Amino acid sequence: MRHFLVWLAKITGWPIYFFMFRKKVYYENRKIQGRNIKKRAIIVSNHRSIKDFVLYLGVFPWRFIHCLVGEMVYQKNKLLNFILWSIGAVKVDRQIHDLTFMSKAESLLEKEKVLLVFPEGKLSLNGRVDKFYESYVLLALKTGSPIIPVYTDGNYSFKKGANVIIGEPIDLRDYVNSDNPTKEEITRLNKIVRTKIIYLGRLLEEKKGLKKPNIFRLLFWDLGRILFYFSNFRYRVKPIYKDKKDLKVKGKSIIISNHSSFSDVFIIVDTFWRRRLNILAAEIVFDNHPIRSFFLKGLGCIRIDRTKNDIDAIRRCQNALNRGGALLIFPEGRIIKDNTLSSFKQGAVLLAVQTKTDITPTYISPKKEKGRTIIYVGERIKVSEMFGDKLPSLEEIDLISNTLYDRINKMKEIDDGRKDGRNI
Amino acid sequence: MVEKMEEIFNKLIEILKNLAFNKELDYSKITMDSRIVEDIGLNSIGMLYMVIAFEKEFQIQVHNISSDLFVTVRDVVKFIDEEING
Repeated sequence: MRHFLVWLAKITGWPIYFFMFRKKVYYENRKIQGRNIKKRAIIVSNHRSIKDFVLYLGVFPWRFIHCLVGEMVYQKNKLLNFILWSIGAVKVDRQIHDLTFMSKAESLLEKEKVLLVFPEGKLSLNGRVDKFYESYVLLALKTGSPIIPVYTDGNYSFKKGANVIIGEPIDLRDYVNSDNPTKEEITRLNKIVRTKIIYLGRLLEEKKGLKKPNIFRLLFWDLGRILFYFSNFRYRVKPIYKDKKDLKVKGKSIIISNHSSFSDVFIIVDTFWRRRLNILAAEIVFDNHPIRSFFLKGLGCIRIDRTKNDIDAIRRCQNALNRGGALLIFPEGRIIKDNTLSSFKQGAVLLAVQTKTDITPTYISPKKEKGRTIIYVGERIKVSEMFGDKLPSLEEIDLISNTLYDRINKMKEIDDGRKDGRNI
Repeated sequence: MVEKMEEIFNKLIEILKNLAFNKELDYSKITMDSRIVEDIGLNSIGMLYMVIAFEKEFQIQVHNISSDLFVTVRDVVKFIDEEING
């Protein structure tokens, strides 16, 4: 009866599931653990939403998954109780420390069933993987069931879609010597599983970052680029360069420029028209403007919050570069209108050394030549060849940042002394 | 795999040494109560760099951190310990 109800729900609910979750499954090693679980196992996952269980029904579609469910869910209504019964959920009453769930779960595992456990025992709303309760460790040791660690990012919006990563199974018996492990050993085993799930979260972010934007996003981006090119009728950009190769940036690349006006973005996009440019833009451009924010993100802009150490923005930039993209950064961090060059923030160099990316310095002249906007494109600084595998010191980062400043300042000095256009 | 507070502290000092942002600093004098900005002299980019380095070292994932989250070395060690050990 239960199996019939679950399969009926899976088959009839599949289209709704497909559009609601839009899940993407990643693997630590697909050859070792895919979505098909052949024998008894305990799936251990972080817990980001009440939808997690439904997500896993689709992630592991071929098995009837029994989930450990807290008593609070049972108190909602009778229909939910019926649904929980039909999906074979095991009630865990944490209020009265009822341990009967252990024997129920044990007997399920003895029958080669699959058990789903959220050992945090509650939803983690801040994105962190909280402390794990240890009962699943005892179950795994007692029944000899492998643990399949799984991590979900909990994105259940239609726009983003949920991402899941399945890790390699862990046999906890490999980590203990005796049949009766001590309390300390159980704590250690619990920490091993939790560390693995945190690692999977990190791996998922890396794998997501390498995923290329979909075709609709690229079309939208290119449409934006075409519209940007029309601005060239107004700015009529004239690049000045020493070597034409510097104008043709290939592969991952960082372009930096002085920033004296909002139009600088149009000028740079027109100059490097061959490439889709990701542009690092301040929070002020995005905040409180949802429509503008939507279009800017569609056009490859990356929001950075300057009021805090925005490590997520750095990570998005790293991902864009690791995908082979080009990134535009204004290292002064704000618009400077008085024709001076302010000191550079070191974020661009930090990104360059992290991702082994070359930097192309540019300078946009405030003066026009016969109605044309002059942009100086300097020689590429080959950061990729500087450090090998070691992380450079902050002093070295400072040194590269100063070199970039000097290069752009030199272009500025040439431009200040220029009467007519001449090569740098 | 599972680290104690003292081990985390020692690894953190090693990370700070490798970053070499302050050549005049005597790293043996850094204690749990040393202040990140005032005593060690870490600026905002240094802080970001330190986070990137300890993410790599401890295999953890750090999301947005406000600039006042880490005041002393103890705050950083405690943060890493909570991330690793729960």
